[in-house]
Amino acid sequence: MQHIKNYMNKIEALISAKEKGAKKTKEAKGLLAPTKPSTAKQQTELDVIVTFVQSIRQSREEMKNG
Amino acid sequence: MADLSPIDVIKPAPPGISWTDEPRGTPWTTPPKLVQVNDVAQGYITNLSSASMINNSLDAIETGVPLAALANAMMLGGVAAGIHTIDAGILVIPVIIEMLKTTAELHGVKYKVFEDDGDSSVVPDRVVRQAIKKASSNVVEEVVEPNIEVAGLMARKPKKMESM
Repeated sequence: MQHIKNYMNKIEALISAKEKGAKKTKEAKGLLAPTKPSTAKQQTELDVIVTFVQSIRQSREEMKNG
Repeated sequence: MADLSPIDVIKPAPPGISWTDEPRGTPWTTPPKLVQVNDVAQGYITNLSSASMINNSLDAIETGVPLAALANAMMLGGVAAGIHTIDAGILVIPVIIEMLKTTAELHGVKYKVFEDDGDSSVVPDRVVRQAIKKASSNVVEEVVEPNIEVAGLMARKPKKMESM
């Protein structure tokens, strides 16, 4: 279950970063630019999961508070 | 299968045994029904919102199974049924856990997300029962012989200490 725990921690970190409104760092250019393209697909899938988790939590709070 | 002993069952599968079955004969060898993570997550949300599923999941949560283990089992069930791939399933696990959390909290059922979340000082009933069973099976009664001084003709004479 450790892999799930690590993944959940990552999701929590992404949610807290999103709530704080942290901006993404600018992509480096020139020599500092990454040689491989970033895993854009994985990021979007993670973003989808983060959005789902956030919306479920929000609806839970609404249902709890009436 | 009935003739197999337990030792035969745990033998490793011979290499290439998967090729002896018909291709696409099992659900997990066919292409998955849901490919996008978005669709898989929505499918689980819809499934876990149904009344029968809520009842079943509450029964499971009440037994004290961690939500992560439940979510993992549900996800593997989806893979075995050919609904989605294991990659998409692992990505969707947090959504399943959140849905199970919501179900438990709204119905007032205590839960733990991971195995080590609970109070470690509490000993489970199963462990207590096993300990009692083990302790009661190993009881050996000690027979203490009473120290009675024998008197009369048949009495043994006390040994005298030999002088050096």
